[in-house]
Amino acid sequence: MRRLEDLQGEFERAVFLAAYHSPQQRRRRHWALLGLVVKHGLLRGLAFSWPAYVLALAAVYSDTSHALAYLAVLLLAVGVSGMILIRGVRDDYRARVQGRLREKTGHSGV
Amino acid sequence: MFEPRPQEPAYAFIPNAPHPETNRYGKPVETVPEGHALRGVSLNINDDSSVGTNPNRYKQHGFYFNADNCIACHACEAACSEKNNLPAHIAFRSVGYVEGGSFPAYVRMNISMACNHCDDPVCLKGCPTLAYTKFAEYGAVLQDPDICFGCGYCTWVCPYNAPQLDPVAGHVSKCNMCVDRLEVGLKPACAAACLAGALDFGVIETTPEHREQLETRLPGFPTPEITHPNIRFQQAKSLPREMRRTDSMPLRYVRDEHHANVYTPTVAEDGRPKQWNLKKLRSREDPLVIFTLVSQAVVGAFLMLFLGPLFGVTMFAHAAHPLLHATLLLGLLGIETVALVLSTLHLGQPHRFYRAFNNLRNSPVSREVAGIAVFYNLLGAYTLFTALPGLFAWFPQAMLAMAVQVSGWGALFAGLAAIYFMSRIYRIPARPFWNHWQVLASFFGNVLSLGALTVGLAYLWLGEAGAGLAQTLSLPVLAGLVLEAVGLAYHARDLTRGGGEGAASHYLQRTDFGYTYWARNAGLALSALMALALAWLGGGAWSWSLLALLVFGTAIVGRALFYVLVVPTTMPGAFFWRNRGFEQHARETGLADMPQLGVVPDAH
Repeated sequence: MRRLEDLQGEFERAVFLAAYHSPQQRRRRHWALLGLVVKHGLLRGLAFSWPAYVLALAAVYSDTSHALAYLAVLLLAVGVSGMILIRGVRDDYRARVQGRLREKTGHSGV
Repeated sequence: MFEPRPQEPAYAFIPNAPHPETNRYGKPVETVPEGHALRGVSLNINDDSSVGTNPNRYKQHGFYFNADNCIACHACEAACSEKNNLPAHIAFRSVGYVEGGSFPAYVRMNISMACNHCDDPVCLKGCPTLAYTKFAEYGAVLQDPDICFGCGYCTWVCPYNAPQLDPVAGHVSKCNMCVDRLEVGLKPACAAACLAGALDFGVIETTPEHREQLETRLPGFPTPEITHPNIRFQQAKSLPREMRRTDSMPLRYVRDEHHANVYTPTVAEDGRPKQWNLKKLRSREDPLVIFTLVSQAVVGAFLMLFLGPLFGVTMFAHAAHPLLHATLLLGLLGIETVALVLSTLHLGQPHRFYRAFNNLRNSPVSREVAGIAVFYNLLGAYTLFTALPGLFAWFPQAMLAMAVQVSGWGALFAGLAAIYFMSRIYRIPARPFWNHWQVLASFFGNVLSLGALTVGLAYLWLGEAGAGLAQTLSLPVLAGLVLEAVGLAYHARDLTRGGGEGAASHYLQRTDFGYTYWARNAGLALSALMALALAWLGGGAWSWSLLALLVFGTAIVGRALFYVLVVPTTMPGAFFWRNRGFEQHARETGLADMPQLGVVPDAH
């Protein structure tokens, strides 16, 4: 996988950037981003934090006062785990997708 | 490949000296035998795939420090920082000192210390992410900051303060032995920069030029038995019988009467007054105070709820109080969620939390995290099956009942295993205050006392439980408190007898935090008496709540003391540098805001 940071010459960089901004490369980056979201969201998010979402089900089945308490905990959990997952996706995207020419559609490189 | 300067002086190159087959710990100096698969492999430094030409590439190397020659010029620190491009608050190598005697016979002994690339690296075993590797090349213990997620456990287990947690970058980094320089035969930057001939480097157990001794002990240096460090000392000049530290650690080093070179760490009792110091109970480990206590309470509460019906407490069966039982389970799930979130945010890189499972083979942190994760998931499943049975109306009832039992027993064993491994995390030889069975007694004591109190609070306030329930639940509360108290009594006794850093921690406990310590002990005794009274006479929601307030308050103070009191076996610091007391003063006065002072930002 070619990386922009490895290229020294102006001409090489210009050629790289032309390819990097092509519709095909954009599409591949979008697929890679989707792959990262799925990887982090399912394997590293839901697999560990699904019990917190049981609270949402409990809120549905509870009376109003309990429902509010469950929802409060749920919102906190979702907020923090969402923040953690977004940082994970962002870091992986910067390390493995951004500034690189992707060779295979949908391959997140991770 | 690293390029030596055009006119690199001869002293910058590692001499090719004869060495014995094995080192003093009985380990071969040659890291891998001739023909081994690990030989001839590139270290891939900066993506360079070439292989170094150093003829001693597969021999254990180490530092040689001559304390007689060190003048504390800090050139080694500067060279290291420049070579590794370190920020001001991080130093892979640092120079501290101990002093002894009195004017005019004052003696100061300087110590320059970095990673010792040990034969038995405890950092490597403790790291939950597998960020550490001991390489066949030079026997270097290298750490990959890109794998590290910043839990800081290696900084706890290392006796020499070698791994450096950078709160700004969110990860640990450490001395890399300058392996790029070694590949071309050069000494590490620190050794090459030494002005006074104090710091040297080479194949271990070889005697460098102008040296006589290859000692493994030096006043202020922790016992080499913990990790078998690859550093050798010379210290031939006579020193006073007692050497003192200039940092805020209440420690001094006293010469052993039978071994002239052995200095034993001893408490430096300076008559400091007994204080409360409640503000100093706060530390960067605050999230761990909450996480450990909440997890112990949740595991304990689940234990009561799940096992209660088996021991005749039918009130805890789901059928007896379906709504209350479900509410309590969901509540436990909720507070454990918050505790897990707090523990994750405690990491330097919370979004890399999943790397905690990487080292299940060796690291107690990995095992604890795995135990808690399994417990949390099975508690979630158990809650789902019991609290929301409407969701599973389509499921065969026999299978649902089996799922309830499997998830319940699974959660129970996983929870208890997690608490056990939680206690193993603190069995660290480099932290004698923690390295005692009292940790296990305290953690399981809290499982019983906090768990029973949590269940009691729910049933006495929300249910229709009578005095009988308070009587029944008082027994595990009392058992937990007694277990903790017995552990604490033995802990105090053993710390005093053991001397060294453990005794120093106990000295701080009795002085700087003296009133807080006794208040905690009084709280524990009062709680036990109250639990005994409730077990005898019974009680209602109010008396139970009072007991809960007392026990939880005592537990929080006790756990906070547990974290702030630890005196590790770190190397001596200096008056300003590596001095907890100065760092605290710098933070209070605003000096710490000047980055050039190198005070580590107060964050984790």
